[in-house]
Amino acid sequence: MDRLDPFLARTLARRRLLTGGALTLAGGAALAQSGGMAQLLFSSGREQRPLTSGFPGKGEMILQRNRPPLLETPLSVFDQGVFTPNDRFFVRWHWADIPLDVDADAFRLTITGGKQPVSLFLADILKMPRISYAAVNQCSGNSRGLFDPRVPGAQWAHGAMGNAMWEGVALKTLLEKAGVSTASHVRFGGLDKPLTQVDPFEKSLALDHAMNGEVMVAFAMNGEQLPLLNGFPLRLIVPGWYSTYWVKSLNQIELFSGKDANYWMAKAYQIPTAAGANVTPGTTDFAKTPISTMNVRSWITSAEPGARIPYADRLPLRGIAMGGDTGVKRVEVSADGGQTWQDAKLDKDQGRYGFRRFEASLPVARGQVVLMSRATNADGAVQPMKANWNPGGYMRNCVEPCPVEIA
Amino acid sequence: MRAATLSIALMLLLASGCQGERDTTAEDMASAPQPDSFAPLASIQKASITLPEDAETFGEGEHAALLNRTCLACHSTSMIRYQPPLDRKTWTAEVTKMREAYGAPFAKEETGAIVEALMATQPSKKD
Repeated sequence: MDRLDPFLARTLARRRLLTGGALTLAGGAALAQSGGMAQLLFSSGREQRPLTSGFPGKGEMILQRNRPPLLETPLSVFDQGVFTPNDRFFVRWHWADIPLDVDADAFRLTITGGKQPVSLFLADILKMPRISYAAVNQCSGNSRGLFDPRVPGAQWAHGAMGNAMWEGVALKTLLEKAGVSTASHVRFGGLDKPLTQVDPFEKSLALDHAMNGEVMVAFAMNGEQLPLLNGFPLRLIVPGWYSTYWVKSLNQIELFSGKDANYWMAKAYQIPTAAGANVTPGTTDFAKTPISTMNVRSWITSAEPGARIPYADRLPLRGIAMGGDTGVKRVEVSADGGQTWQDAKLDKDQGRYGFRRFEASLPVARGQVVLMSRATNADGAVQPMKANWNPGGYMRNCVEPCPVEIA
Repeated sequence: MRAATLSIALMLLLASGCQGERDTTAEDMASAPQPDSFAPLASIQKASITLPEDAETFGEGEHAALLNRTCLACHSTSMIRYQPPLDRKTWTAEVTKMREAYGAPFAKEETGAIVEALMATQPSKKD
């Protein structure tokens, strides 16, 4: 009881109240929902979520949670292009106190624990040598609602992910400014804060990883400054790794030695060490390790599960694939529930950490048909037919059946 | 409206930027970005947004009052409403995590009562 910061809680409550007032003045509803509902196909059946365009800077999103926001990207967005537009990019915050107003001229990124402390304005960072690449940002628990049996947590379908062209400064360049001495790890923290006196949301990487020249402190996403809801003004980009490491509104970097005992590294986001992060359903006692690299996945995007499609002798299909921490080598598609497969045509390669679009055309008969896609990455890893299970609902990457009716 | 316009502009930009046939291999990633698609960022402007209101509660009654007091300081009702049916053991682990890791405003002794309230509110699994 005494651990809740009453002042901060009151401030936030007041902020919500003021927000409500502002919306009322503008004649809007409490939460500007478009009225439509998203249909999500989970392992235990279909569930509905409201669609909302009520979040500033965001178009229509699936409302998983208002506060702190959990906004999911509708599957149809991934059918429109290889890059996910900023205004449709998924949103996920842990704490109630998230940055809503950032003065770009006053903001500073600090680096401590090196040979000398460093404090940089955004203007300083913009003048440094830049790097840029496409990379998929995917929540560790993407597709959690499809776990069978179901597990607690944010009940995402497949839209807790997006692919953007990120632009910024290599973390290596910044750490060299601070002078890397004997540190073994680098810790990252942002502007979001808990209401209570608990470990802040901080993540860490091994120094070798942080210095690999690819890990980036990004200031731009698809050619624009980052939206506040996606981590303005700076976000850590850890290509090939799950989004939990992509610290938003990054304002502090700390070099340190030893093991990170912070809750968010030591206790949360733990996966089984077993292959495929897979354990027998119901198991909680198993060897664990922090989640890290993503795995190979693919989705058909030209049809939503449950869609009714007018009959033609061939069904054109489109979709997206990702290799995880490497490129996509091959995508196969099936229109008979995985009994027979045909190679899909891969679209232009936008970089090995990004989405790769594919298309195909398959002969189909009238009736119920199960569409599937199966990707193979550059390391030869193939999506399994059978889903994994773990109590955190992490790292799903099986072939996703897309049942449709050809009528 | 503005978002829609931006989104269309972005799609046009992408469409025009991705026309060129260029063979890239999986190896060219980070060192070979696609600068043809997006212009480098020139400056960063201050940002400020206001989030939608969230006044929803679990309503009235003993269970609702308990959940309103112990859960809603940090998150919306939907975090609970959208959970799948969970058994007592799983709910207890979640409530304990909320108190220990997130510092939810309730005493350890209230855990059992909160789990009861959650199981009554949710289509829960029998123990």
